Amino acid sequence: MLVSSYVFYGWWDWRFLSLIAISTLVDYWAGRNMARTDEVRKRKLLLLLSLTLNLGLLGFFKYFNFFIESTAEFLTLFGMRANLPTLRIILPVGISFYTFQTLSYTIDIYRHQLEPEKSLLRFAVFVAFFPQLVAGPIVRARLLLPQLRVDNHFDWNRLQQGVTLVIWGYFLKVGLADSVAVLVDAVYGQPRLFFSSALITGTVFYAFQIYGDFCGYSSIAIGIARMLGFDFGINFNKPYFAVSFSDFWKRWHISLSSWLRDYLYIPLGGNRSGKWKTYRNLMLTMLLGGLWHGAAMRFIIWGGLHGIFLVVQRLSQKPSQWLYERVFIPKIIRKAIAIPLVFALVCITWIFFRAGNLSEAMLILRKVFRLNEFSLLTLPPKIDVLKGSLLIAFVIVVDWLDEHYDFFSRLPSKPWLYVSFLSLVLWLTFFFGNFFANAFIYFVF
Amino acid sequence: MKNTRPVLSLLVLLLFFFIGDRMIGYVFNYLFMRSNFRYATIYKSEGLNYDVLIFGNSRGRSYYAPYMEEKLGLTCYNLSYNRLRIPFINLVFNDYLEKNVPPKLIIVEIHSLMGYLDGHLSVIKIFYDMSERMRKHLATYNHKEWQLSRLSRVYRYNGEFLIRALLSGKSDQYWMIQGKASQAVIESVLSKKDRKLNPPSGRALQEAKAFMETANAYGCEVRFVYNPNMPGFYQEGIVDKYIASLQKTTGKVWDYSDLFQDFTLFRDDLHINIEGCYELIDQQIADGFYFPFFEQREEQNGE
Repeated sequence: MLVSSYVFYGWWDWRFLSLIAISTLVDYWAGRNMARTDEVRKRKLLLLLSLTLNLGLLGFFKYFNFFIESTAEFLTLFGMRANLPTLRIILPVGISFYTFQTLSYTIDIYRHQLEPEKSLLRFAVFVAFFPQLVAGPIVRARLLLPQLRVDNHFDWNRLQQGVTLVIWGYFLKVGLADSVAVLVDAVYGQPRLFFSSALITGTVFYAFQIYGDFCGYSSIAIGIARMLGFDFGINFNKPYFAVSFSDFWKRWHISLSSWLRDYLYIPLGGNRSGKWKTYRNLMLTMLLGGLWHGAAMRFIIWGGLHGIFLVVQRLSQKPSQWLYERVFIPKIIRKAIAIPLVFALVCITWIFFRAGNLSEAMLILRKVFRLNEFSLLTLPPKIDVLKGSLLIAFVIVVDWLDEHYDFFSRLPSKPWLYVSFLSLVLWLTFFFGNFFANAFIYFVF
Repeated sequence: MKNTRPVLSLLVLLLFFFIGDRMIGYVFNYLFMRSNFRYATIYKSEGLNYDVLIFGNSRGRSYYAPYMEEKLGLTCYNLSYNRLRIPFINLVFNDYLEKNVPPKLIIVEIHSLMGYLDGHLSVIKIFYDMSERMRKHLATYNHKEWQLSRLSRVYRYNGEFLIRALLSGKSDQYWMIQGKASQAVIESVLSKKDRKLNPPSGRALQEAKAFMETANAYGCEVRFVYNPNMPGFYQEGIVDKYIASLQKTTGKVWDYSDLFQDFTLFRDDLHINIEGCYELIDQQIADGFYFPFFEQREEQNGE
């Protein structure tokens, strides 16, 4: 498994195998030595070594040029011109994922929540396991290492489950994400030329493009791992059915949001240090979460907006409670209002995520809110809108079924439903899919 | 025995998928061939007899055949489609000639010789069953598309053509570019001063030459035309230079690039709208573009 994982990763660029190897060796050594001592100072130093190495690698490859350019811009505000050198740095695929994965290992050992792995080979497989190496999910050591320690035998049931996840994931990526990407790229490529109807359509389509792309990849990764006998948990749980922003972050990129919660938000104090510190902690966590996605202001703004919405949600909890105690609003009505509202606000944040730069994001936002010439006549090509709408509707229906009836869990036990549904998904993939399109969006994070 | 169910499920899934794929593929083929979509028409019919055929990409679509028929008294059929270029035009034209009467006049809008010439490779799989020529071309130039098309009949209908066919109604010749360019588009065109026009590629010229040779062998007159650009789209001299490099192969190119100074005749930065089409056709008639065919028809009608 280690050889196949290294070959898989090295196929893209063999030079960056050295980074995974260094991270593996250092964290293995640090973990073993942390467990051998009770001296707090020594344990802290070893943890610091792991943090410095992993975050240092991440910081250099991902953020070096961003900080240089931001510093230069900052200095120009004071009238100073600084010709600071930038480097032509290739971002190693998956670095944001595997560094966080190994950090979870050393931090958990430091916290006495995990025993160190004795086998270097097994630990190396944990770090480099190919299904989730390049774009997650970020699998915690306490979930994966125990599974690596037991003998695995082939199981037809797991194969069937894995096939289901892979087929669904492939549809989400090739059928949904890459199909709607055509319209999204056209609209976001030249936002000045489009009216608000096209920009709103493009943004909604992008919401489903990134969902299909990322959830699709996760589903494929989790499905392959399931076929091999490993359980990665779930990484997406119908996020666009969220009734609040905190609910959204329990459903979207669960492996990252839970990582940020456990290793950043809670150590900062979480919600246990008074309301102002809670808001601070939320904002810091989301800002850094945004920065994790990319070295650009628009990702920081994206994270910041999510932080703001989370803070506003907290602020509105008491007033909402007051209202519900006095005015009877059935739960179904509350959900019917909350779900589209949260979705609309999430779409606003996606504008920053997708736009080419900050000024384009602001332009799109202005046009969307002015509803400048909103008209069905000014939509982009109708065929692309029709195709995208059908695909999105299908995904919403399936997600709704899973949300309310545990559709995917029940599927294997109902053979004719299993065969019909997956055949339909395959036919839709072949009919709508864009097989020659983009790499996965999250490969660049 | 506990493993029987998942094994059976997977095997039945495979079988069901393939049988369904074949059946759905046949249904799609039936719907496509039953439609009045331009390419379905030429593959389902024999003995079509049009005086004028129009080929091009989306700019070629600006030729509104019903208006041309009304003004010229000649039967016209537009075989242009968005993003399609001269290699596809060659394939379609050769297929057309196999079963139908060669036209008198062929109009080729020259933007079909520019840019990415292989856009058709993602759409011609729909002709997998209808055209051996298209099938061989696909196998040669995009083996992966060809393999996927062999694997799945449904995949052959992946693309715009089937949906367009289902929406084609009584005739898709009424499908025309409507509307006017927005102020934002106009400003964007006028603000960009450094647009370039690369000389035609060797491959584009070869394809154009092959097209002309085939047309001439069947007694068809070919006229290359440059549709109107939005005012200020290119700096002066750029289009002339391009046309000069093309004319060495194609012969005369009818240059209407500077015909319009009125932005309201454009749908967007690249395409004239239906009002622009009317004016273009009228100007072409006045210029003798349709000579001698229009004049012959007028003589026959005793005008």
